[in-house]
Amino acid sequence: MTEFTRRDFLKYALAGLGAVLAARFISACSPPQATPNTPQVPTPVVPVTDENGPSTVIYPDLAVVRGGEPEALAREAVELLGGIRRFVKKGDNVIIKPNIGPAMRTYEYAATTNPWLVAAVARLCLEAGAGRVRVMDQPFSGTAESGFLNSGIREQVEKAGGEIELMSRFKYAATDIPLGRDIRKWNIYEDILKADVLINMPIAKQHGSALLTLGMKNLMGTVQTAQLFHLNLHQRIADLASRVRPTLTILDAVRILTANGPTGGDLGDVEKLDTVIAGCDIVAVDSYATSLFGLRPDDIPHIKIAADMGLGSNDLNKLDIKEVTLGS
Amino acid sequence: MAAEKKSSAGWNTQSWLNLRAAVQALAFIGFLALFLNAVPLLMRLDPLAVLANFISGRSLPPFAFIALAMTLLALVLGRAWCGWLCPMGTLLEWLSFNKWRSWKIAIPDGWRSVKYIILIAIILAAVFSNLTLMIFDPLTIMVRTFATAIWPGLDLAVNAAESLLNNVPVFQAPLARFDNALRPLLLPTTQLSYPDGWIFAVILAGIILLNLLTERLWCRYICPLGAFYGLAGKVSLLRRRVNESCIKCKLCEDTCPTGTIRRDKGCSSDPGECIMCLKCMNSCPCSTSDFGTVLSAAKFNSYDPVRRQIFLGLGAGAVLALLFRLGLPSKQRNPYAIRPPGASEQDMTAKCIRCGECIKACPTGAIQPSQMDSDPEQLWTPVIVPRIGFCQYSCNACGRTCPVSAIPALPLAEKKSTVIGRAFIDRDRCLPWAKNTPCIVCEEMCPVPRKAILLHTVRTKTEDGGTMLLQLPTVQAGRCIGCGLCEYKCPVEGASAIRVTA
Repeated sequence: MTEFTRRDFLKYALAGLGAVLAARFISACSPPQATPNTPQVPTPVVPVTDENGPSTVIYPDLAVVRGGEPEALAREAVELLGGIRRFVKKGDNVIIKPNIGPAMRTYEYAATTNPWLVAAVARLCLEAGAGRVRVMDQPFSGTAESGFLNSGIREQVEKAGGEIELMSRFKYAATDIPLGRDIRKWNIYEDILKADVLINMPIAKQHGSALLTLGMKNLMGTVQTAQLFHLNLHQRIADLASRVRPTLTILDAVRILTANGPTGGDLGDVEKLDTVIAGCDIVAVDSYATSLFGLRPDDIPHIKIAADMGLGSNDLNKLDIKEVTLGS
Repeated sequence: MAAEKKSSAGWNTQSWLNLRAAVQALAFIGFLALFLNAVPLLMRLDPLAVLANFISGRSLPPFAFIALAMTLLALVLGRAWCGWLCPMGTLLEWLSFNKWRSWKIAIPDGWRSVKYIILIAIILAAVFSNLTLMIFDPLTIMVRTFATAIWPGLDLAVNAAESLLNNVPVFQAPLARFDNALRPLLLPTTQLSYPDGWIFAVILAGIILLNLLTERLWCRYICPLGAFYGLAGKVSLLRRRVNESCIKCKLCEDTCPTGTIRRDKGCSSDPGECIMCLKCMNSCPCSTSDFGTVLSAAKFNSYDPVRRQIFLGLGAGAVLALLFRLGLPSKQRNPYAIRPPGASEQDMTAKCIRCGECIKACPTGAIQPSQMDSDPEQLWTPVIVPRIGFCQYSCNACGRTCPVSAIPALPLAEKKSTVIGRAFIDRDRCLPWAKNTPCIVCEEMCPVPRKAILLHTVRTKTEDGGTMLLQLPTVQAGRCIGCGLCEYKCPVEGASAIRVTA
């Protein structure tokens, strides 16, 4: 072994410092990264040109499918909205955001999104030629790895060919929220913002402070220090929904949790509805979902705030809703 | 093991040294693998830990036969553990500073008895059901330091490097793949914090820096596990031998890492100090030093534990144990020192060997080593500090990992209803109670099926003179299990407005 001299030490220290500076320099030379925009929310009215000449296709705002296995519910709901190819193009980078919030429950407790439903959507995206389908969420009461394991989502998604991503700390970036009325900047997961397609897959649950946790509330799993949202919860949920814009929201009401949410733990609080509500307008999906609990959209403050902010429609009478019951 | 210098098969004394280096490296990797997977085998290999736990806890810990086997092995191989397997010994050898140490400090041989005194004090204190001195066991030092300082430090460093490199667009994709391969396999996905980790880092660094005074100073003078194996070595079967043709050239004395070979004693060595590293065999120019079977007790040395050392050890152990008992009446214990699920205060004193395996096993970093502000007798036993980490509802990793059942291995269903503390709300700090501000994060988080936080809705005045409905949380004590998730998540800055107390 040769001696490690002071000169050696200085050499290595300088090399290390040089490497850090080089990394800084390269990042400074790279094109400035415009804060990425979330995927565009598709509009229901789409001009098309076919052999009959130019015309427009009008897709329904909401698809509500009842009575069937999760996979069939998901497929029918997406089909009613125009088919998966309306949303996913070949090679697209797709992220699915389920709810594994309480990392400790199995799916029967209706505290986490139904694993077969998530897997079905992952499979649909892969069938449409998606380049990559990742499923990610950061639970609030345990590690992400335990959440994916206990919920059964890891097993089903991997069977379907999707990837589970444990969200990396270094990928959260301070992100402007230009339309935010209370919060104007928050640490949001970069990949969620950069995805070609973001599919939001909440489960419908009762919730102490948010009253219900539905599509918009589910987006809180994409940020850091989510507990600080509670200082002005409803406004902040809406503010976040103005920045993180899912392409599609597919709400799981196969089972819903009617009390002791969002963590659950008592099968007596679970109601099996075998229902899926899907749509591009996250406010509309949430508005319809209030009816599962016998409530109206205006009963949930963040739905009202989001509609006031122009993020979507809470007027169920004006929405084009396609309702289907499978097998009837 | 008696090897000829020039063997026909090409196996010579250097081969033995190479073999030992390979075994040491493999054993260290094995230590890291056990550590990372929170497999409690390491401490079960430690006969001192098992013996002390047995005496102190008055019952045999599980898998005690492993430690018995290690002891029997020591009756054959003496302190070979120290020179071949011990992760602390290997670390001290890798960081021996032999190249840097140009001076020679003569430490009197009498200091070698310190380790025997510590060993005897540990055993005697164990008779009084006290295991505080197990903090001197080298394996507990290694696990504790890796769990609270080295691994969290590595995690911080890796995350800082990742954050920096992530600024460079071309690195982003490979970085993401790297991170997904790394976590949670080797590093945690969420950042765990150990505010007292620096204490353990300083202690381990100090032990390593002692090498600057003389090689393996820790092993020679302080290590109680080395003393245990040393006692076995005194009567072990396989030992170093020097025959009459030795020319007293002193080459072996210079190479001996424990300094037990002394020319003034005819280049003989004490099998209680010899770690069977075989370096002397390789350095010997005339093949007079080898290792073979010897059937006798080792010669007596001035530092061996007789009369004075034994009395010193016994005295120290007894005084220590009794001093602790004189200490605080239980009411004055830190009321926020919550124990891992199912662990009793008594077991924390009498059964916990302070190894820190539970600290590593806890996925949320809730378990921290207790400090002097709790009962000093229970120094570095596990406590849950909810503001740092909460006890995950469907997790019983600490109990499954505890090598000596100081934390019971509760089935998951039983663990979920095991009460470790109770939450109470500080209404002077709680946002709804003190500031008329909606919050109730605690209620939302509460993981028990029938929530332990109840909400009372009241109509209250807003700042602009209107009225609003406000939900006020209260704790239903009978349902609370003390997991601390509410305290961890409480958005009030500084001290939480909801706290768990024992």
